[in-house]
Amino acid sequence: MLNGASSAAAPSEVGILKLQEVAKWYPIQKGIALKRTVGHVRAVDGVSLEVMHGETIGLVGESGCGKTTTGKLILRLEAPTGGQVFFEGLDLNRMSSAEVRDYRRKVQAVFQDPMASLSPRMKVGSIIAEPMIMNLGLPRNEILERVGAAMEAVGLDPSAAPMYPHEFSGGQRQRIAIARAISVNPKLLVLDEPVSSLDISIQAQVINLLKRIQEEHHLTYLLIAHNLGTVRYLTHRIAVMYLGQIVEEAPTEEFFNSPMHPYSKALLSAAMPIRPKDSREAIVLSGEVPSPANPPQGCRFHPRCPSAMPQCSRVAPTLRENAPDHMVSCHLYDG
Amino acid sequence: MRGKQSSSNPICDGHRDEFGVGYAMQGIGYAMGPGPVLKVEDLRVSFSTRRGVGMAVNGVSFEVKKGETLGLVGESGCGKSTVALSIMKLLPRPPAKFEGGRVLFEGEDLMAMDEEEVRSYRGRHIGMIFQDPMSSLNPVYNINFQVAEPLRIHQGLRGSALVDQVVTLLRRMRIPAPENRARDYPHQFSGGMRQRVVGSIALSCEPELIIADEPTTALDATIQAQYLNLLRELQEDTGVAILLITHDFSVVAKMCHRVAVMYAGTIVETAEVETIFNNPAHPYTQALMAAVPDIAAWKGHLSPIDGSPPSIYETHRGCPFAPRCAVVQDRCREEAPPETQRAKEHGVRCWLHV
Repeated sequence: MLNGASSAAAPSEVGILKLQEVAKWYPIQKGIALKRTVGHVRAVDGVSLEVMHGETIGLVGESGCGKTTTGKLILRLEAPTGGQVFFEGLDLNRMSSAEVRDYRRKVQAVFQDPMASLSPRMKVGSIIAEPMIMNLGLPRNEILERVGAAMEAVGLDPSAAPMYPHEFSGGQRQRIAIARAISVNPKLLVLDEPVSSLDISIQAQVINLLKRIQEEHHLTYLLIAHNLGTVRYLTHRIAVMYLGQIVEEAPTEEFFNSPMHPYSKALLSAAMPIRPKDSREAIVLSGEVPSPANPPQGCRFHPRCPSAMPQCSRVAPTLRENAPDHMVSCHLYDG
Repeated sequence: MRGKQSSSNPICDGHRDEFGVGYAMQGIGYAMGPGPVLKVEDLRVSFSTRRGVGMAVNGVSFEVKKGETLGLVGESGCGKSTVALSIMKLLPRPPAKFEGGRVLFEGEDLMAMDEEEVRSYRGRHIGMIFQDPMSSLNPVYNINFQVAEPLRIHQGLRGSALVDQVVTLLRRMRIPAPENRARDYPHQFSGGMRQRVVGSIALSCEPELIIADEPTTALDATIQAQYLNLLRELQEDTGVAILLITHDFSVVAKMCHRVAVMYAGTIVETAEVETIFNNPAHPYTQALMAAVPDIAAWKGHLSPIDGSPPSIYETHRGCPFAPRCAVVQDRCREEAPPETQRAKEHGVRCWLHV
């Protein structure tokens, strides 16, 4: 199954990150003194994914589908309750402390709100220098030089280094966050909604910047986003998540031209009629996403699915390759 | 297990047909009333803060007709929400100050009224839907109380008539099991359902105008599609005029009949929605359309607008967009362009079109 994905239309055939049946269940506890676990929120429930060196993979889905939790598991900010995450062949949770330190340098993150991810009390130069001080142990003048280079790489004036984050606009702040992430020569960037908080005209600037930086620094991106327009522009491959599971995975162009899963079709439809008086029939799903603490039996999407069949409420479909490189988890494509 | 599932999640079962699975984009068909419901004339609003006096809204004029949705579109800080709040006189004064202009609601100037008179319009003739339903609903009152409040105050309903009306309103916004849900509190609802409650309150007194400020921005894609469908249906049924404030062009495409594009406190272009999408005249509108990652008409590249919008505290003599404009002329930096009518319902503020 995973080998099928490795032949994706990616710039490289070498895997850098691999998730194997990864799960993150959060316990629901009741009681004050004697806490008992009454259930689990299955934020991520059996996700397998392989990311190739130099590619951008997009994780899309609505809020609560587990895409951010998956990002946290990859960043080692959370420990999985099941399954394994491998980075360059090493299991994240069996690394030695030296390996963890190396991993922390190689994997960096950019989050949605730069005002929350940049310390308001630190000057921009110090913000960008901090990961280099922690990870590289370079002499002071070399760090200063690299701060300037990182700022230039993201289109900021290096003379702005002594300023504070609040003196910058939203788009510039996101550039600072990107400069900090690339300062230590990482291999993988986890981008969690990197442009969602920005205005349209600024979004395009940051999207173009991310694309350029990827080429210049040979980076691999894991993009977590809900905006399909952004995803189409930045990614090589897309994985759609619903209630903690991947329901479809395909090369980006293939996905936009022929989505298979009914949920993917509805997501696309919701984003699609960007032109007025579009005659395309829109698919509007009924109901809402059920709670991940109590996911539906069988296929998790069946209560909202316009093409649900009797077996969908009984048997959970598995993710399998239905067309070359195109994996889907849906009974419509059985047999 | 299955039984438990369906009871904990009533909206997933049995209500599917209520929405219909598909809708067609055509058939918006809006009836034109005699005069506009809302007419804003040369509205100017400033803010006085430590950084000085900033003109947030600088001479904005537009009108909304019966049964029509006007989209007020622009990036953050362009003054679109300030316009919405000024219409209702909801801005804290100070720091806000009305520098001039008129806001005519069915011919009556809201700007000239005192607080008492304006209050008789809020919720009664003009309904409001804001972005975040969790902050527009009161967490310590149940839904019944909050939906009933405008009915008690404006229409004097009491007792069982009041209860019936609340349930009818909630049902109209497709809230499942409204009789039971009315006793619940806001935190017991999902984001999409909360926004429907807000919609019920906005619609409660059958207003002539609804001001919706980013009503679906906080909602997920599939829930957003449901909500927009619902709003459009209600407009067809009641003929209510909607002033829709948004930054999202896919929402504009789905909802609006006409669009006014704002930049730095002024409206730079007003046109019917097809014109804005297919034949925009102002360089800012054109640049915005080129910067949107459009998944339907895939271009393969994005053209960002360099720089960022000016702060309201910056004073500019000429056109506010001049520093970022690709086709700027000398005149643009000296003198602000007047509004010119290119066609019926198509006004542009740009020296290129004078």
